[in-house]
Amino acid sequence: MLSGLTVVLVCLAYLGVLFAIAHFGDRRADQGRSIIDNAYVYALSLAVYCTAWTYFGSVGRAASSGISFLPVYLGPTLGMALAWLILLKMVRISKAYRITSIADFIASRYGKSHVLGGLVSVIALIGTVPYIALQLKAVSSGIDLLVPADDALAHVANGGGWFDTTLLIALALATFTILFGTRHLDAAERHEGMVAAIAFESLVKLGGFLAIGIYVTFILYDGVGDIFRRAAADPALSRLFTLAQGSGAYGNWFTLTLLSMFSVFLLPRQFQVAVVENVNEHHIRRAIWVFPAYLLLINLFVIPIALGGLMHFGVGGVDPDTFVLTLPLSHDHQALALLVFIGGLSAATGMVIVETIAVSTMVCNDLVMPLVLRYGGQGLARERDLTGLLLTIRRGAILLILLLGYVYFRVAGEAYALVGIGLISFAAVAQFAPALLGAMYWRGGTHLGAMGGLSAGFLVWGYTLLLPSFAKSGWLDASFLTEGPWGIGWLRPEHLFGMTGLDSLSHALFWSLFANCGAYLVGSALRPPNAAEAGQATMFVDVARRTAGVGTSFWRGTGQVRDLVTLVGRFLGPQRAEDAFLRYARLRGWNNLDEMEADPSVVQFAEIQLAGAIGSASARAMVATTVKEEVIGIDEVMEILDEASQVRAYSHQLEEKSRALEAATAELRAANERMKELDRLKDDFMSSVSHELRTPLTSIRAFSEMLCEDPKIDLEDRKRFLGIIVSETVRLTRLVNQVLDMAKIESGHVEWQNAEVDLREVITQAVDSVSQMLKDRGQDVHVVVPDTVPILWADRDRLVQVVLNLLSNGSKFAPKETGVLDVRMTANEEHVRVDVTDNGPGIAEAEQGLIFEKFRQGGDIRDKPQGTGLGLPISRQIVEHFGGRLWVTSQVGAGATFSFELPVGWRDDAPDGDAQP
Amino acid sequence: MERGWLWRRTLQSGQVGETMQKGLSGQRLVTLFLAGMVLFNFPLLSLFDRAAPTLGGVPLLYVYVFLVWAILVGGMALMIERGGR
Repeated sequence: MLSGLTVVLVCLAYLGVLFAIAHFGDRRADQGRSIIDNAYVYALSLAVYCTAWTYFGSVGRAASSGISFLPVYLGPTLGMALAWLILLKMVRISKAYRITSIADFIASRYGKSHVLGGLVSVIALIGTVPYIALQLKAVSSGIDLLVPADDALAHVANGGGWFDTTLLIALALATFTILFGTRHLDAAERHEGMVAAIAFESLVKLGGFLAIGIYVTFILYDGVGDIFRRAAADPALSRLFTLAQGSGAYGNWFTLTLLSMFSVFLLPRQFQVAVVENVNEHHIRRAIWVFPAYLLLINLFVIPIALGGLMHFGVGGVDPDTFVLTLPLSHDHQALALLVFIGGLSAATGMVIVETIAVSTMVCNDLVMPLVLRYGGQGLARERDLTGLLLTIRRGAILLILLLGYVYFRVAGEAYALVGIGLISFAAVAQFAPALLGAMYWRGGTHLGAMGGLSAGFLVWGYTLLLPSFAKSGWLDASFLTEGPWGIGWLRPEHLFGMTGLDSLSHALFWSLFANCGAYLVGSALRPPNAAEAGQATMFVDVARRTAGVGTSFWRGTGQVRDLVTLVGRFLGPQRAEDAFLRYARLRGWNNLDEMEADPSVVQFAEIQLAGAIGSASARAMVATTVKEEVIGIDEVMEILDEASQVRAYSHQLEEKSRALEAATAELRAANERMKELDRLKDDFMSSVSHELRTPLTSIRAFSEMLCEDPKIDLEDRKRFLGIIVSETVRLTRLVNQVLDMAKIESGHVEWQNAEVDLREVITQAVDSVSQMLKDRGQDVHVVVPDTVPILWADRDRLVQVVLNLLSNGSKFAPKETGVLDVRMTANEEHVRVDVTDNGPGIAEAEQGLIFEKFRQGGDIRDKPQGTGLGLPISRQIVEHFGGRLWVTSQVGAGATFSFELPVGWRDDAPDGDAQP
Repeated sequence: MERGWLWRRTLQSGQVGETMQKGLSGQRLVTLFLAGMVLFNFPLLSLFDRAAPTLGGVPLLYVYVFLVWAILVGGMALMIERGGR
C-alpha cells in the first residue's frame, strides 16, 4: 500500500503543476500570446463535461445496467453536430453584449431583469452544490482506497471530525479558483490560465482512464473479445449485453440522450468554457468533432473495466464505482492506481473549479450585486472604486460554494441524494432550455413567460426529482413516494397524476419540461413584448446581422461622458475605464474624452462594459442612475427594429433631398436665364441709348460743322440750322433726363414730393402744356372730367408727367390735321381712372405688351416717330408706384386707349411717409 | 436559419464555389445529427439489441453503438477538415 504522505504529496504536487500551468497561461495572456487560442485546447476545455461522475461513476453504472450509461455521451456528440447553429449563436450574443453567465444571458434577453437572473442563479446553485459535493466525495473515497487504514494520515483522513484531506483539497481548490478565477476584474470575464489548466486536466483524465482501460483489457485479460467471451459464461453478466427490454429502457435511453444534449450547452461549467472563455469563434468548428472524439475515447474501456471488475471481485463484492482503483490495487500495481487516481482527481478538480467560477459569477452578479446596489446605502454611493468590493464578493462566493459542497458531502455521505445527483443536476439545467433556446430563435418570448416557465419547471423538477431523492436518502418519509403526500395517490412524485410506464428521470423530465414550455408559451402569449423585451429580442435573434458594439440602442438618453467614465470606473477600476473609453473614442473619431458626446451608442458602450463586470440587469440599473432617460415606446422600438422601415425612411430622405436638389437646380437655371435676359436687356438698353443719343448728336454735329466751315451761309439758313441744333439739344437733354429718371425710379432713388392732388387740375395742366403743339399739328383735344373727384395723395408733377406722356404719345400716332384726342376721367369710391384715346392706326395685340418696354416704340421702324421710347415705361413705373396700373386697349385701325387707374386713399408707406398718421 | 461562419468565412475569401461547399457542410452536419438521432434510438436500436450474434465475442449491440458513434465522429471530422476544400 502507498503511504498516506505519498498520496497527499502527489496530490499537492499535481495541484502545484496546475498552479504553474495556470500562472503560465495568465502570463502569456498578459503578453498577448495566448496559449489557449487553439481549437484543440478549446475542445479539451469542453471536456470538463467529463467529471468524476464519468471517471468513476460510468463503470459503476455499466456494472449495474450495461450500456445504458452511454447516452450521456451520445447526446453531446449529437448536440455538437448542431454547435455551429446553437453554440455559435450563444458565443456571438455573449461576446456582443458582454454576457458572462447563463443567468445573465437569460436575464438580459428578457428585459434585463434582476428577478429572472436571480431565479436562474438559484436554480444553478441548487443544481450544482450537490454535484460539487459528489466530486469531493469521489476524491475522498479515492484517498480512502489508496491509503492503508493503519497509516498515520488515515486518522486524519477517516478519523471523523470536520478536518480531513477532503476539506484540505476543497480549500486548495478554493485557493486555486480565487487565484485564477478572480485575479482581476476582466470586463469579458475570461480566465486564460484557468482554461489552460482545465485543458491540461482533460488530457490527464483521458490518459489515466485509457491507462487503466488498456491495463484491464490487455494485461489482466486478453483483449476486449476475451472479456466478453468470459462474461458471456456468467448469466448475471451476460444480461448486461442487451438493454433490459420491455422496462422502458428505450424511453430512458432517449431521455438521457436529450438531457445530455441540453446539458452540454446549459450546464454552468459548459457555458463558462464553451461561451465565456471562447477566444475565437472559429474554434467551435474543430471542436465539433474533437470533443465527441474525446468522449468516444474515454468511454471505450468503460464496459471492459466494469466486466473485468465484476468477474474479478464477483457481483456485489466491491463497489463498482471504485473498480478503476481497486483493480490495479488488488494486483499490487500501486503506481498505476496512483496514476489513475490523479486522473480522477483532475476530473473532479476541473469540474469543481469551472463550476465554482461560473456559479460564483452568477451569485455575485445576479444575487448579491442587485441587493448591494439597492440596499448599499450612502456609503456605497460615495465609494469611487468598487472593484475591491466586487472581487471580495466573488471570492466570498467561491469559498462559500466550495464549503457548501463540502458540508453537503459530509451531511449526505452515501445517500442517494448525492450519488444520483449527476442526472438530477442535468435535469435542473434542462429547465433553462426553453427560455434559452427561445431567447435566441423566438422574438415573442417575454419576461413573464420566462419567469413562469423557469419557475414552473423548477418547481416540478424539485417535486418529481429532488424531493424523491431526499426520500430515497431517508430524509423524508418513504410513504411520500409510495403513497403520495398526505396519502393523496395522484400526487405521488414519481407517478404524477397516476402516470406509469416511465422511469423516474423520464417522468420528471417530461412533467417539468411540459410545465416549463407550457408556462413559457402561455406567459409569453398573455401580453405583447414591451419595448425592452422587443429590443433585446431582436438584438439576440438577429445577432449575426448586427455588428458587435455598435448595435442599435433602444432608448434615448442624455448624460455626461465624464459621469459615465466615473461610473464604469467604479466597477472596473478608474484607469481601465478611462482606457476603455479612450479606445472607444478613437474608434469613433474623437481625440479625447472631452470631445466625446454622450450619444446613445456611448451610453450603450458604457452599459456593455459594466455588464461584463456586474451583469446586464445591474448595469442597466446603474447606467440609469447616471443618465437621464426618455421613455421610449414600443412603437418607436419597433420602428427602430424594422430595418425595412429604416431603409425606407432612408431612401425617402434621399428622394426628398434629390427633389430639393432638382428644385434648387431649376431655380438656379431660371435665375441664370433671368440673368442672361437681364444682361441682354442691358445690352439692348445700352445700344438703344447710344443709338438714341447718336441720332441728335449726329445732326447737331452736322449742322454745327456746316455753320463752322461755311461762313457764307445766309442768315435764313443759319437761323434754321441753329433752330435744329437747339431742338436736337433739347431732345438730347430730355433723353438724358429720362434715362436718369428711369434709372432713379428703378433703383428707388426718386424723391417723391407727395401732397394732396386733384387729378382734374393735373389733367388741365397737362392739356394746357400740349395744346400749342396739338394746335400746330392741327389736332383736337376733348377733355371730360367729373364734377367731383376724390383727392389723391401723390406727387403732382409726376402725375402731370404721366398724363403729358400719354397725350404726346397719342398725338404722335394720331393723324395730322384730323387727329382727335379724348381725355376722359372717371371716378368711383375706390379708383380714379383716366383714359386717353387717340384715333390713330391702333396697336396690334402682339405689340401691346411690347410698347411698355424701354426703347420699344410702336409703329414701323422706317417712319419711326419722334420720342425716346422711355415715356411709357416711366409712366407705368410712376403709376405703379402709387399703387395703380397703366394699360392699353386697342384694335388695329380703330385707335388706341391708354388708361391708368389710381386707388383712392393710397398712402405712401415708405420710411419717409411715417409723418402721416 | 443561422448560417454562421460556415458562410461568412468563405464570403471573405470571395469564392462562390467554396461558399456553396461550406453551406453544404452545415447541412451535412444537420443530416448527421438527424441520422444519429434515428440510429441511436428506438426502433432501430432494438434491431441490434440482442446478445447474439457476436463479433469476436463482443455483443452486437456494443459493436453497433460504438461503430455508429465512430462513424458519426469520423463523418464530422471529414466534413469539418476537408469539406471546405
